[in-house]
Amino acid sequence: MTAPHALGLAEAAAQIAARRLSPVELLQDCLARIAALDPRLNAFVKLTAEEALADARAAEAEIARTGAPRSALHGIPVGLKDIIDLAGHATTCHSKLCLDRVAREDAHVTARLRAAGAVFPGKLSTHEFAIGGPAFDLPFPPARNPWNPAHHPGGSSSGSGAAVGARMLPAALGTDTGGSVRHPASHCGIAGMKPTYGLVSRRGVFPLSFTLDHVGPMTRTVRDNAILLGAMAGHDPLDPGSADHAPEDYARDLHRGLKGLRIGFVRHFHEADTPASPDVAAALEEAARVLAAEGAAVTTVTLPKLTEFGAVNRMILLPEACAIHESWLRERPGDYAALTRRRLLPGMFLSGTDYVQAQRRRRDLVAAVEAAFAEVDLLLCASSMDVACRIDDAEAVERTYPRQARTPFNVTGHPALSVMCGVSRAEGLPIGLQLVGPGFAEALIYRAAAAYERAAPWASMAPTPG
Amino acid sequence: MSNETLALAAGLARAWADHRADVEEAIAAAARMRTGFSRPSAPEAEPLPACVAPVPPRPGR
Repeated sequence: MTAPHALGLAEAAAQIAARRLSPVELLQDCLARIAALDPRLNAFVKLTAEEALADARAAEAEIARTGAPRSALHGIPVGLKDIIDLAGHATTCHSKLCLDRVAREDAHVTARLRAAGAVFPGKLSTHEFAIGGPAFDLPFPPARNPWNPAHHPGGSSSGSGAAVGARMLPAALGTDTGGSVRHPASHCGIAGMKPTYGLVSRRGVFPLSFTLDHVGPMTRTVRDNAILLGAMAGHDPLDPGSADHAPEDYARDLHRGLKGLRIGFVRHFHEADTPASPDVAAALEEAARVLAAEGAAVTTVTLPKLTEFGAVNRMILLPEACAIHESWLRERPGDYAALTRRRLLPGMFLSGTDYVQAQRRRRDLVAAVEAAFAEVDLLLCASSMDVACRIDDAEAVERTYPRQARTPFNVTGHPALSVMCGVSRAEGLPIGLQLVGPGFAEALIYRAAAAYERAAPWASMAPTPG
Repeated sequence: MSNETLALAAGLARAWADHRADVEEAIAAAARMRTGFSRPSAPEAEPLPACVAPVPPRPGR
């Protein structure tokens, strides 16, 4: 019999609905796994076990009384990246500057999940303010990779990736401004979606960049991801960037397979623009072969160069981030981790003209990706060009973090999902790919990703971080 | 214009005093960033507004 912590979200939900598993049993098994593994993995900055247990007991009682769960999320433990507000608890942003910043109310996305019946066992490690990196001069240690704790788990939603990858939780929320859901998803061997900009409310999430911030689900499987996104998404009139888009069942087409789908493989991202390691390149080619074998028509497409997208991303992100951090950078620069300070400071020397030029160029880049979607249904591309390096090798972290193809879709706002597509030969560490869709086409992305997941061997693999 | 002048103009006197290397590196990085992407040449090229979903929903998907 599968231990409760080893169940994915959909499996646990089915067992809860069938009254074979209690939300209390599920949470208690997750807490035991957290107690066993987290001292080494540092996925959590704060456990909220007592509150979560009370909520799990309430869920158990309600299901017994009504005969059925409210939703697939009822009684499911979901972790929150510690820039996402949970009422009554500090949102520390993993920073000395916010240790006492207690949220008066849930973030909008937290409230949606709470209404669906989810329980919240804790706040998860993040890079400081979602822009730093793995750092050892912060109030809490950095999260580590469950496949090899000597390596980093990606970021900035590092704790979310580590917690789900290590099977401490079936699901977690992350945020993604330059790749920060998909980066840990790739390095921890899980599914991570950056939805269409505006699909999920940003209200109650500590901002990094108003134009580029997204909140996204992180789960073990594609089905789990689709279910969680369905509970998260929805218009929030109090978020000025919120899209007025009707709720969807994102899991509706998971069974449909790939026949008839046209997939554009953006090979130049990892072959020419930022050449990937041999293992990553081989994994991507094999993934394209599997997608074609499953019925997709895979062709090569060309987009603007990665460096162009990356430069526009930085030129928008940094001035917006510095507008948020201006007072602290001026008055308390020493209270940031050194890496965070170095990453933020350039924004203080960029001009309004620079920023507007980036927003002008951004329109061209959106048009280029939209033009690609006139010819294909989805895009396939790399996520990270390397597997995760050692967490204590600052030079390797600095060199490999920018080697990625995720930022284009923060710039354009298109939805992008990272799923596992391989394991490196030497280190045994996960490799991820991205599937990207037109705006609000998350169901189509999940359809293709689910077909790939069924055909590929990775879904049955898990780390053994014991 | 000296780096110190730039730092003080940005209100970063404290950072200049305590983390000078970081500030100097930031000034150099900002200069590099300006040349990282091509600028539209047409005067009428509009920016995308900040904080607005740039991709409209497509019917029928």
